[in-house]
Amino acid sequence: MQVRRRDDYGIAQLARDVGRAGGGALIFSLPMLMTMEMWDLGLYLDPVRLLVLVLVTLPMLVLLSRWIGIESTRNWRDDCLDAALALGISVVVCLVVLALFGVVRSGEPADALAGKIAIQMVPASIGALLARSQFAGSTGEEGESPREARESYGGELFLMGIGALFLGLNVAPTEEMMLISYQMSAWHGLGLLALSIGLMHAFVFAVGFAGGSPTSPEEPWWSPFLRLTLPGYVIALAMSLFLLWVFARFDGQEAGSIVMTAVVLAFPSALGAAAARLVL
Amino acid sequence: MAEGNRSEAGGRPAVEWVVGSVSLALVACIIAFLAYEALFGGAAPPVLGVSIDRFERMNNGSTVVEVIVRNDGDRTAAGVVAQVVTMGAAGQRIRKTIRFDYVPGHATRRGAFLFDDAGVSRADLQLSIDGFTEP
Repeated sequence: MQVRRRDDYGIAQLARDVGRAGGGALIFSLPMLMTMEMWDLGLYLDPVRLLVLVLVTLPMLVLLSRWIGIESTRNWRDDCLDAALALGISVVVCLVVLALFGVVRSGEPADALAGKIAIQMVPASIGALLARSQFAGSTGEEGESPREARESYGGELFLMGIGALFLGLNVAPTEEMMLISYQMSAWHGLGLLALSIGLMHAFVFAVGFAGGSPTSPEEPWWSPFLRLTLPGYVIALAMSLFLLWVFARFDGQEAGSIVMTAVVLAFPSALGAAAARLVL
Repeated sequence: MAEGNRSEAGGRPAVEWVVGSVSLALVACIIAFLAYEALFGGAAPPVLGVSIDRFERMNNGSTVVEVIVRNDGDRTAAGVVAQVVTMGAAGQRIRKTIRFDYVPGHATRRGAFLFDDAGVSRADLQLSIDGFTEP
């Protein structure tokens, strides 16, 4: 693997990396930047929950940078800088876009502004880091492929977590998540759970898309199902529970509603987790 | 992964089987919970009630009445309208409403009525639920 030396990292390369990260931040966060609920959540959400969301995101960004950062990095200091750069770029992108939409105005109270940006910068910063994996290939640049990095079991699960967090973030703030869960019975919930797990397994293993985890022909179907699909679904479910808590969707709810809403959100999150293993 | 940590089946590390087994147990618990709800859970229609949570006079002379709407039924109620009727200081009838988008079964939602009239008394507040729809 060719690792770019820091000394060789010139202004032109920095500008290209920053531009690429900005593009990734914009593409990945645009659906959320144009979602009304995301603007409002930043205004009324408990700041502690927002802080927890950002604090949970930070180590994930550093780990993501380790594998698919803005630039090829091989030590933790660079990974932290890479993650910080992604966050900084994301803040600028979110601020500019929300200002152009008229969502952020001059004279806005600092806490409202911080809330609106904090909630948007999480998906944007993931996009900024993923930009390298998505855009770098076309330029023929060398770098560590995430496919190489995720050879480890932990890497596989981590990438699934990133995919679940990202797609979950896209839909978790919407009222529709709650409405869907209210319209469903427990039977619907069971069916959706089975569909989520089935699709997850089919996506990666049975369909055999490029990027699917290699499994030996001698390996029984239940082996990857037990080792990867079920943990992947549990990760998607955990991410869903976390996001729903951050967005205060559990307040005043009893256990049955909480489980049902989590199963509903786990559906897109599980697809995000499965797709992350294919796409990244 | 150390060779000693590998299981025999397929040469996979033991940790993968442990994580997989724990995940299987967790998913089984969720399935069991949903199955129990499906087989034995109730399907009672919404049973709605509203009560005062906090009654406070503000410095500007207005009164804030925070209320809790509770659904003791199993099904979710949508468009729940909570109503309060009281008499103002001048003897006029005051009626106010709040609309809650959803009140799930066995769940609560909070809201507040605001009165400009400083003569509103807690004892005179008559709270009720106007109605609801199905989601």
